[in-house]
Amino acid sequence: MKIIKKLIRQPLSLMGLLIILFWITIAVFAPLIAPPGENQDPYMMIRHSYSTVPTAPSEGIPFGTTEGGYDIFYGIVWGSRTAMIVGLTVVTLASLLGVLIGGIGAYAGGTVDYVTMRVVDLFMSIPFLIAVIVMTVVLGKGLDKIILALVVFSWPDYARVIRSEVLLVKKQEYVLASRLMGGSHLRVFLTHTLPNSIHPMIVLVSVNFGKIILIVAAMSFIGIGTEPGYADWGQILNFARNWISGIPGEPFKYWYTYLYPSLAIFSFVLGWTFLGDSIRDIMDG
Amino acid sequence: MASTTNLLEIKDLSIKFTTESGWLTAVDHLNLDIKKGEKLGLVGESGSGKSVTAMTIMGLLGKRRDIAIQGQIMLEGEDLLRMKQDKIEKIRGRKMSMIFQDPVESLNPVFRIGNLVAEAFMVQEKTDKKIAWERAIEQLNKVRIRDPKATARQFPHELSGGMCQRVMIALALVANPPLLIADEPTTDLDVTIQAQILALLKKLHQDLGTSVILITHDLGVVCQFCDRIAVMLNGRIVELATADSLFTNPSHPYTRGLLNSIPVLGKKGRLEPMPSIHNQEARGENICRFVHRCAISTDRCCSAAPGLREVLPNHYVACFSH
Amino acid sequence: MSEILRVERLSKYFSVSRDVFGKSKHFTPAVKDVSFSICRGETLGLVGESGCGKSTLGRMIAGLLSPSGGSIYFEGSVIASAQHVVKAKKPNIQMVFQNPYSSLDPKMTLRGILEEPLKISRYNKEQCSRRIDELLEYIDFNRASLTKRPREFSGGQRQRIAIARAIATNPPFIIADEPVSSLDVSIQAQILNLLLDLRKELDLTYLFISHDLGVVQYISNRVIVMYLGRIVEMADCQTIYKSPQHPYTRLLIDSVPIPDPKHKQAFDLSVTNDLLMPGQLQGCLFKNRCPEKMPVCCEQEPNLVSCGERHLVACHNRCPENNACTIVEI
Ligand SMILES: Nc1ncnc2c1ncn2[C@@H]1O[C@H](COP(=O)(O)OP(=O)(O)OP(=O)(O)O)[C@@H](O)[C@H]1O
Ligand SMILES: Nc1ncnc2c1ncn2[C@@H]1O[C@H](COP(=O)(O)OP(=O)(O)OP(=O)(O)O)[C@@H](O)[C@H]1O
Ligand SMILES: [Mg+2]
Ligand SMILES: [Mg+2]
Repeated sequence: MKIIKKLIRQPLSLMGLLIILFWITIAVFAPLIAPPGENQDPYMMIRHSYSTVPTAPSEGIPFGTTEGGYDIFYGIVWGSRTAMIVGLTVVTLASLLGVLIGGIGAYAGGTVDYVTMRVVDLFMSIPFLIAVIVMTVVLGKGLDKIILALVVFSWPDYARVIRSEVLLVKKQEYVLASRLMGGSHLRVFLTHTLPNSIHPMIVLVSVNFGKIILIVAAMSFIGIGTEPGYADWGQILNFARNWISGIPGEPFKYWYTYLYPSLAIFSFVLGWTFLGDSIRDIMDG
Repeated sequence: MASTTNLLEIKDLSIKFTTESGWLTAVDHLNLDIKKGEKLGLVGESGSGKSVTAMTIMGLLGKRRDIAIQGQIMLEGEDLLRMKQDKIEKIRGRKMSMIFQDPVESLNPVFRIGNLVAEAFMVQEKTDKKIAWERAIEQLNKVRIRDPKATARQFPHELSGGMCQRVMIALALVANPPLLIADEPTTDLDVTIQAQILALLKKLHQDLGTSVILITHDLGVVCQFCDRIAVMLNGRIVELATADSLFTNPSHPYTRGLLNSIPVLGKKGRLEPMPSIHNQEARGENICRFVHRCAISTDRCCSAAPGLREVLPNHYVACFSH
Repeated sequence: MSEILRVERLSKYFSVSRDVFGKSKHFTPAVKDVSFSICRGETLGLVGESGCGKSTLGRMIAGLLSPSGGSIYFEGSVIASAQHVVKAKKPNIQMVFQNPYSSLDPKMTLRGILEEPLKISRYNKEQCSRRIDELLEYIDFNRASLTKRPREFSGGQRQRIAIARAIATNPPFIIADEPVSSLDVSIQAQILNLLLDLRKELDLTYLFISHDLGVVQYISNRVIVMYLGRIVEMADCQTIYKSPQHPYTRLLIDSVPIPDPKHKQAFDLSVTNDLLMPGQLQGCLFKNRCPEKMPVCCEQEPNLVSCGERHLVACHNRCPENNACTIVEI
């Protein structure tokens, strides 16, 4: 509770919190803000036409459409859901995996620790972005595949952080005392070791949240992300690729195709970064 | 041995820290003189303000906004609290030095012992490197480090805690300052090593005439080492007397409480500790600092703070019961 | 009196460094060939300087470390032997640690801390709350404190909590590893008195580890003096203070500053080399600091021999060459 108070008091983290809150609201109320058509998968962007050129904002289409006639406003609103879902799942699964593997390895020590750390080293030695791109290319398009790839290559980060923390905590005397009472390893691990080493994970999670979204957007932008038409900010940007330079004499003619999605991505990532940095500062004292 | 002229006079010193819950008075209207060549002991429980007092004398707290320091600290006629920071820095080492509880931490780990001491000579006496090194070995010899030449080539972590404390003493006494403050110099050491360090300090004090302020919470140590002892409680001195007088006639209930709390070698019988209360509680202006823990307190103790009064020759007590 | 704990030739070697293949290159014994036994209701004090292996010995007995050699018997049955710790069916041996700030889980409330041992020992809810009330009474706390967390308690209060936690399931044997070393004298005295009262009330047996001879004398019936992992002297409390036999014990006793101005102590100015070089491990380990060193001290390690009633000492000077005294086999 104290930490939330402190977060609110700092301008940067307050801004981060507000931005995130804004996007959460959008995501939660997406069906009201941009109602999907009947019998339509809400995560597929509404299509107004099959026109090959973007159309400017007009009545009923506040942000205009991309090439292919996709509604940008609808995409931004539902894209916030995509961003939240991807971020949450990746961060949750990866940190769970990391905490389990790194935490258990460190707690058990000895050979178990040695082996898990070599596995972590192996994963960490592969450049993250390239690994994720290669894996998605191999698996094919689709949100689930991106999530899988991101989880597979981001858990070692968490494992390493939790490991160093568990190594410190497991030497604490309250852990020894609990063993003396006859507490099983599982009990000691769950009730004492984990709760007292989980702190730095919060920082990592909030910083990584923004990073993950940036990567998903980048992948959709280069066309290896979600299926075509999926409400995803990177994909909208992808549709804008041919129109960014406008037409001769009118360089900003198609401003709406890239401005809105970039703003969305930018603010979202910024919000999480502000929050993560502030939490880190607070925890470092 | 101690002369009658004062080397250091602390007058009405108050030190306050800002904390989350307001001002915290760490030292409260403290008056204390240290005579030339005297060994003064400063004892008291944890948090009674011993270290803060020492740091203030040394000018180590600096001028910060969250710390309010009032009063005077006169060293050989000059007020340390009104002195410019760079001047204090010059005086430090030359006129006063300090040694700390954790000698291994206080020594820079990347330098050899000899270099550390030689460096001090180069700064204090502006000697060149070679002479400084020779003086350093001489100095190490003075603090009775065995085989000083070999030790000078070692690094701090290669020495035991006792040896490191000797090096600290050697460093502190490079310029023969008239005042040495030792803040719990033996607390982290084993008793046998503590005895050696105390013996060394005593010998150096005899040879050089340095005044020593020894800060500790060990009544045995001050009794065996010091000429005069000040007992501190929550930022105030509650009893001030010569070692003999203090231990034969402990007069403040707090001092008696402390003495009744230590298991003394060779004596049996149940200890009678005084009650403990969180230190912060009795920090008000007009209240005796011991009132909540005192067996003989009266209404008066809650409405006024007792001042130090001479109850025996050179034996001062701050308690209304006297 | 019946014996509750027996330790036979217990040793612990920590590997100091590993070579590239992960093999240990160099061993230093933290505890070597230590044998003794404790009777029910007794308090055995363990003194010695920092790093002499007191905590290591305590932790081996508690089952937190496995011995490198030797064995430990609790009420007649083996609880630990070389490289092996027998899993205890009941938490018979509990420990109170030195640092009251790291021995309580900062995330738990007082209730959680006291409940933990009870829950592990399968007390039901009603038994739990009754026992917690009893425990609070022992350590003189009120029920309002139950919702507080460790950081809201002072050092002395935390140590009381740690003691309550240790006695929660009525273990007969408590190891107290420097339980008062980080406390102010008045709080130290309160804790010592609490330990004494509990011993009487609950018929506890203590192994009390400390480096403070005054404290050990106050609470113990019998004292073991350790030096660099070995027992150098063991005797009844009174005996050891009245007539210490080992030169190290004498040095220890003479070094304690006494708060009595009539008892002026002249501390020795001579400097001793307190670190032993790796080449000097042969013979008596105290030889560098010993005022009575003899040639034999550099060659042969002295055995622990009897030199009086219930009084053992490991010193060549106390054991005449004619072997009149007996080498004690426990
Ligand atoms: N930098 C600081 N900021 C706030 N409060 C401080 C600071 N330094 C010391 N204090 C407070 O001042 C009081 C006196 O502290 P001090 O360190 O002088 O005690 P001490 O007598 O040296 O105790 P110990 O025996 O534990 O060393 C304590 O209550 C402490 O919490
Ligand atoms: N886990 C460990 N790994 C390697 N060496 C260790 C380990 N634990 C202890 N030691 C070494 O064993 C020796 C004995 O340590 P121990 O902690 O038992 O001493 P102690 O008598 O309890 O000292 P203190 O009074 O400082 O607590 C020391 O030299 C120490 O460095
Ligand atoms: Mg201090
Ligand atoms: Mg220890």
